[in-house]
Amino acid sequence: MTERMPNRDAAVLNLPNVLEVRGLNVHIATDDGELCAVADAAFSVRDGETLALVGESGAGKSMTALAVMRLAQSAAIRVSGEILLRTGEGEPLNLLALNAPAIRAVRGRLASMVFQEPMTSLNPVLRVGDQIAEAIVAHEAIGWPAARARALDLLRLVGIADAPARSRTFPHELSGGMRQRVMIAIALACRPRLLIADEPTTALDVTVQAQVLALIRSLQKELGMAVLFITHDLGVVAQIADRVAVMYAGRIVEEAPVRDLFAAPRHPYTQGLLRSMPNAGRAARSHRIAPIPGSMPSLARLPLGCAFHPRCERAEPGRCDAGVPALEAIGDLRAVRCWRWREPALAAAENG
Amino acid sequence: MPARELIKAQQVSVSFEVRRAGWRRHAFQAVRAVDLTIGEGEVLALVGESGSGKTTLGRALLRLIEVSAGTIEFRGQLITGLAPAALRPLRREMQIIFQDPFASLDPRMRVGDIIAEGLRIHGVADAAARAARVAQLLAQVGLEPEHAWRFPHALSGGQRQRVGIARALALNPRFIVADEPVSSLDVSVQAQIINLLYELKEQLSLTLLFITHNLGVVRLIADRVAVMYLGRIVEIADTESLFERPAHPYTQTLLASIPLPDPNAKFEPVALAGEMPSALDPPSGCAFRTRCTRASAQCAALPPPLDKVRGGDAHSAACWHPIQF
Repeated sequence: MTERMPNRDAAVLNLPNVLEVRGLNVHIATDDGELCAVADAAFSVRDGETLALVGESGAGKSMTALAVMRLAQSAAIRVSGEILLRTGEGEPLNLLALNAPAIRAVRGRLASMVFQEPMTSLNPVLRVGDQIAEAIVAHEAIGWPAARARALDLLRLVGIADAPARSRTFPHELSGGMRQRVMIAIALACRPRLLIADEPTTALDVTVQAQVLALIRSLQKELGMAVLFITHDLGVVAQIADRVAVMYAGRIVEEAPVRDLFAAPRHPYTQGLLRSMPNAGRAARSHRIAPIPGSMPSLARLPLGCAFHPRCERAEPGRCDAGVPALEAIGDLRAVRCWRWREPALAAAENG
Repeated sequence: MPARELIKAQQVSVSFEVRRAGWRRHAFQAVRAVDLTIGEGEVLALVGESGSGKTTLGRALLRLIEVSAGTIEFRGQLITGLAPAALRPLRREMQIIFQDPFASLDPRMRVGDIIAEGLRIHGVADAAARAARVAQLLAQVGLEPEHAWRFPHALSGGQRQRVGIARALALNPRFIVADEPVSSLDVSVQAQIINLLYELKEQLSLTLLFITHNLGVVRLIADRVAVMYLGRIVEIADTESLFERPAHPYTQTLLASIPLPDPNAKFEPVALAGEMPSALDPPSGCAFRTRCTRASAQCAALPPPLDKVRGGDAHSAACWHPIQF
């Protein structure tokens, strides 16, 4: 944990995409009509890379993750687009085209997910060792004794001391940090190529969070998997991500390598978020912080044009409230969804 | 610290009775022998992880929870042991803002009635006077007059927390305990509420006890910080002194665990051994010793007193082997 993984190097760019999402839309039918929870999302995650999906509540980040895992399944939810999972040589799997048995074979084996609240995600009446072994038995031609032995190895891998004793405990006997380690052990049981972590440390105390972040980072290094990390915490993003996609009201508004994003955010929303984040790492110059006025609109009442324009100090009437800007590429690594990103006022405010 | 003391807590302990296997009663000490003084006009941050006793201590200072030992003075008047009728006038002076603006506002009451409830209880009988005060408070917290007629569910999280603040301010309190007031809010809205609280504190010369686990917010607004671990204050100091030169090994670990919003910052959290011990069965001596790399035999034998670590400044730590700078 002494250095960040140097994944921003050009060499990584040549690695294949494990996950590639194109034109993902998630529509939810409600009494007030159909909402668009995720609109035209496109991103990719490479081998050994961590992409952080950042946004405030209701931005659509969890819905994106659930859609990728094909867990956004309900009569009221309509998912369209392409979700390609490349698992080796040959053609990638389009997860949206798979039937139920085929997607079950993917979940937990090729792609796994860790959720925010480990207590509600674990089975309360099953010993944790058996829950891990169950994941292995479900996907591999292996007997229970061998699977239980692998479960012990996994408990050791996620840093749980005295694994044989712990494997016989029930979830309620473990602390929050321990439970999240067990969740990670289950997710990693079949060595997936893609790990989706949805706010995995949000419910944890800061010292425990630090340990779980360190664990995810070291396991990623060891196993070389792609990680899609969903969070609202810009501190966590800065410390764990290689690249970042910022979501606002269902759309990705900016994408950039982590250092570029923090050094020179292009979208006014990203700029506002970074300015409104109190930093424990430096003395406060004043007791004030620059907030973004207003709050994120409800998906049921999205403003016309750019969804951020009512809160944006640089919104231009007739343009920003008229059409939704496209996600425009800036070079190979960055993209921004703003009508006015080229204009000097925005560029000058980068470090504000 | 300003010369005048507003709150003075001495040797305050709070115990709860819990039952474990066999129906035996156990005393669970959430707060243990805490000494704490808050100066008038000060912003004191109380930080610690879940189960450290920070919320219990905050509520005990307002006598929302009874202490099991120790004394609390408010402006020199002893409030522990005061009969409810005698306490009531003092209640106007001490208010609380809760963490969850969704749970702390009555969903069946209109915003105006929620804010006016305290006025009514404390004898502002004239409805017109109450309405005028509500309008003034709404403006003060950045809401519109028509918000008085809305129900809480029609407001956003940030707006609800503004209502919670208006309610706390209604009776012109001197002292406010803000218990994780921004933890359930999104970052962009959180900044609005922090600014509002600080501006109100300046305008109305309030004294704030700010309970939080968000150390970024602490560094932004607190004058002093007290760190709690398993019911005890383990370190208390001026904000910059604490962040720059933590003396207690637990504080040091806590600070190193914060992921800073800067990709170039070094993130080198110290892995703590084991987990926070149960408060039902805390270790002897220093409660942190089971996880501390500096622990010695002395740490197991005696709990360290909260003593000045450096001559001249107001920086104290409860540690037998404090970190020297």
